[in-house]
Parts: sequence; structure tokens; C-alpha cells
Amino acid sequence: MEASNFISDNCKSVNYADFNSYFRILDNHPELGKLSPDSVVHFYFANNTVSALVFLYLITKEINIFLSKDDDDIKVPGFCSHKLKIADDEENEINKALFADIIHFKKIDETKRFGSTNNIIFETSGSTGKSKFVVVKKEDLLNNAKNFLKRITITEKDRVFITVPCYHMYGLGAAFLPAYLAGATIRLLNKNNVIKYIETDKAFNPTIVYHVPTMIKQITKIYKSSNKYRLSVVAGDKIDAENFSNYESKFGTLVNLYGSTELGAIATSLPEDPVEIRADGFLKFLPGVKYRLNTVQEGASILEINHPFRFSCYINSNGEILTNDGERVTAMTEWYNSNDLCKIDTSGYFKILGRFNNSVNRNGKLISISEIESIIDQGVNEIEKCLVTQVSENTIRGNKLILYYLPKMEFMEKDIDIRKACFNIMEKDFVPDVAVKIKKIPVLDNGKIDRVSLQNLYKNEGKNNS
Amino acid sequence: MFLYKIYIKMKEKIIADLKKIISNDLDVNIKMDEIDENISLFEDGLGLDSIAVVDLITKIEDHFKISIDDDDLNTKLFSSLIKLSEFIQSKL
Repeated sequence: MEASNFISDNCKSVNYADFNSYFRILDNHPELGKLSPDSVVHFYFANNTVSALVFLYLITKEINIFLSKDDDDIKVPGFCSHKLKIADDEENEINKALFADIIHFKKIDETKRFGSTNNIIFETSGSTGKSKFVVVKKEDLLNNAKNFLKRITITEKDRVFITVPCYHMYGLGAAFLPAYLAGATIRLLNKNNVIKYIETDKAFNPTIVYHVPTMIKQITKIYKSSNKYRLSVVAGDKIDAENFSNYESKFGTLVNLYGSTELGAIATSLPEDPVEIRADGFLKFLPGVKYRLNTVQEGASILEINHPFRFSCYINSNGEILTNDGERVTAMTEWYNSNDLCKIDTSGYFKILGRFNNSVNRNGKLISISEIESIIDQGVNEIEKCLVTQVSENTIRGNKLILYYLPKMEFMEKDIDIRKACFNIMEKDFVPDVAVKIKKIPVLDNGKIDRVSLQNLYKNEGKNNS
Repeated sequence: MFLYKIYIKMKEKIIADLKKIISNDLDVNIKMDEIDENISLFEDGLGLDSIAVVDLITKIEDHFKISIDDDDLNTKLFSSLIKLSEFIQSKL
């Protein structure tokens, strides 16, 4: 590892060679010494240098860490015994002499007993509406990161730019930890926006960048330079082939990462494959990941995964163990139902078609909603992007399908007969029953589409507009 | 003095145009008279998100017939409408 390599944010930078001296300071912190193995520490891993140092220290200690999405004192789950707060001055250089003074502990309930130790607890993104807490053994998290490195090579020569939140599995397990384990120079960016991205990118000059899908489109649109990174990684909703290719022609090789909070990194596209294959969404499983298919219809199956470094269990906010469906159980099974519909070929490549529970029964046929979206996106020229949801209102064909469409800029003010266009390009059972025009796609902070927001839009406005 | 007056008038016109673009053309729920030209355009001020900022940059380039280079894009530029208007004025 090159000792001169460092982790930095917009004003603080610490060399790897200095990490131990910060860890020794934390060893003497009066409150940290009082933690017991089954303590659960609430910790907001903001994308900054001090958070990174504290996390790297905590991960070596025999305790549990809950990675919170924010620093809010009110929303602390009941299973937490302590809350760690960093009183960091974001505008100044790091001050080693005062380092211990900015780390504060608040005791929430010291009598809380978690029942096990050395776990990281994540809150899932909640793109389907309900958040769950996912318990992952620290050892499995680290092995997951090492497994990712077997596919995506990161070396100490790399300069890794992490703009995705480190409190999510993607940012932590596939970006921060692999980059740290490789000894790469790391630049963390908190609360990313396109201007901060460009500004930082120019100053840092990264070789590897991590994105959410919305940023791919934004930087392709306004970043005029054609900086070639060695590699860009994106996870989340699928990027359409045109945007994928446009990004790649300006910024170099882009790979899709398929993963989840529960299983970490599961599969990626292969960096060495031609752009057409990667842009089309073809993926290969990471080493050690086994799969089996639960066929629901010809050409589409539900993907079940056996991951060597998977999560231990789900818990509720009181720390009680839950199953996938919300009922209490004592152990999780080996095979994890991804609920994703996939197509797999004989050479081991596979493609995710969409969520199984994002499928709809229309006229006796199980139709993937992602497939409907894909046909409309490709076949209706006036549309920039469309999204389809179902509501439990019956129509002659089955559940009612609502189409939300974002027109291209030049069609924003014009009336478009979307349903008529749909009838020309797809079977009648596929055609959504209602079309609602939107001005932007609602997204969660991890870049995934916020489908709950869309459902609410139909409930609140769409019924009147449609 | 005369040139200074022209400069000020032009700056006011650019700020008024920017307010109109933000209020009428972007997907944000901000009325023209609610826009304070001294505050940041981002979350700590007007609250524009990344998508809205990309849209604003494209619309500024179209409206004022200027090209905004990568080197011009920095947080300071979007720290207020006044700063942004001064930049646009320098490009005209």
C-alpha cells in the first residue's frame, strides 16, 4: 500500500500512513471504551473523511453498528443503545489534537442487549415503500467487498471517486470498502449534485467513479470534456442503451452492478465485453454466487440466489428477527428469493427483466411491467422516459395499469395521444389504461425510482387528469 | 457613469430573465416574486436539485446564446443569481 495515498473530502485529507495515529486517539476515547459487544451504535456515515476514519475504526471493534441514513436524533430505532455524533467543522483542515473532542456519544439505553456482536445493520432503501433493517456480519461485508475486487480490479494506483452514499450497501460494500482494501486514493463527495461532481472531478482527476443512474444522464448532458476514466460503475435502475453508449463514448468503460442490501454485490457486466453487451444489461455472477431459477413462464424466471457472503436476518425497529414477509422466524434459508425476473443463457450471461412483484396479470398472462416500459420507451418517439405502475382497480383486462410519461423537451407542452401510439406498437393486453404526464421522474437518494411517489401522484392528481 | 448605468440595467434585465426561466420553465414550484437573488440556487437556498440545475444551464445557454464551459461550472457560480448574472454578462 502506498503510504502517500489518502482519503479526502472537500477540505480534509488523511494519508493511510496516519490512520493508526487517529485510531490510537479513538482507543483512548472515554465513551468508546465503555461499549459492550452487544451494543448497537447509531452512526451516520456521511461521505466525508472523519466519518470514514471513524467507520474504519468501529469496524475493527467488537460491537454492532447501525448505519443510519441521517443524523436525526428523533428517528433512532429502538434497537440502538448508543448514538455517535461527529461535530465536524466541514470547512477546515483536520485537527489531530482535537480529533477525540469532535466524537460524541449519547447513551440511548445502555440496558439494550442485541444478542450478537460484530454486525452492521443497514436500513433498506424502501423503493417499494417499506423500510426494513438488514443485519450483515462484519466478516461477510468485508468478504463481499473482497469478492467484488475479484471482478472489478482496483489497485493502489487508482483514484476512486465515491459520490454514492456510504451508508448504503452499494456505497459501502462495492465502493468504499473495496477501494480501501485495495489501498487506493479515495475522494468522498457528500450530498452529490452535478455541479459539485464536475468541480470535484476536475480537481481530483479520478480513474474510477461510482454513479447512480440519474447522474449518468446529467453529466453526459452538461459536462463538455471527455474525461476518460479507467472505469465507471453504476447500480440501480437500468440505463437505456442510448444513454449508456453516450456516457461511454465520453467517459470510457461503464459497468452495471447488480446487487442488494441483503446480498451485497451479486453480479456485474464484464468490463472487457463490447459496449453493446453491457448496454443491453447482460451480467455475470461474481465468484461463488450460485443461482437457481423458478420458472414462471417461457423465457422468464424468478432468480433465487445462494450468496456465500449474504445477510444474517431482517429485524424490526425493536431488534426482533423477521422473515422476508414480516413474520418472526429464527433463521433465514440459504436461498434468497430476489423477486427479480430474469433471462439466462447457456454461456452464463443473464439479464434482469424487472421485479416479479412488478408484474401484472392481464387477461391470464403474467406480463413484466419493465417490459411494457421498455417497449414504450423504444417505440414512442415523443417520450423521454416512461414508468408504469398498477393499482388494484379492475379493468376488463385485469389490474389497472397507469403510465407516467416524461415527454421529450420539445413535446412538453404538446398533447400526445400516448395510448394510441401504444396500441400501434404492443399487444392490447400490454397497453396501460391511463396515461399521466409528469415533468420529472421522482427518485430516491440512492437513485432508484420512487414508485411510491408515483402511485401517490395518480391517487392525488392522475385520477382527475386522466 | 453612463456606461455604469448601462451595466446595472443589463444586470437587472439578466436577473429578471433568470427569475422568469426558473419560475416558468423549470419543474420547480417557485414564484418569480419569491426568488431572492442573494441566496444560493441549491438546497441551502432556492432548493434546486441536480436535474433542475442541468435544465437551468441548458436554458441559460439557449436564452442568452452563450456556451458555459466546464471550467465555468463551480459551486460559486450558483451561490446566487447575482453571481450567475455577472457571469452571463461577462459572456455576452
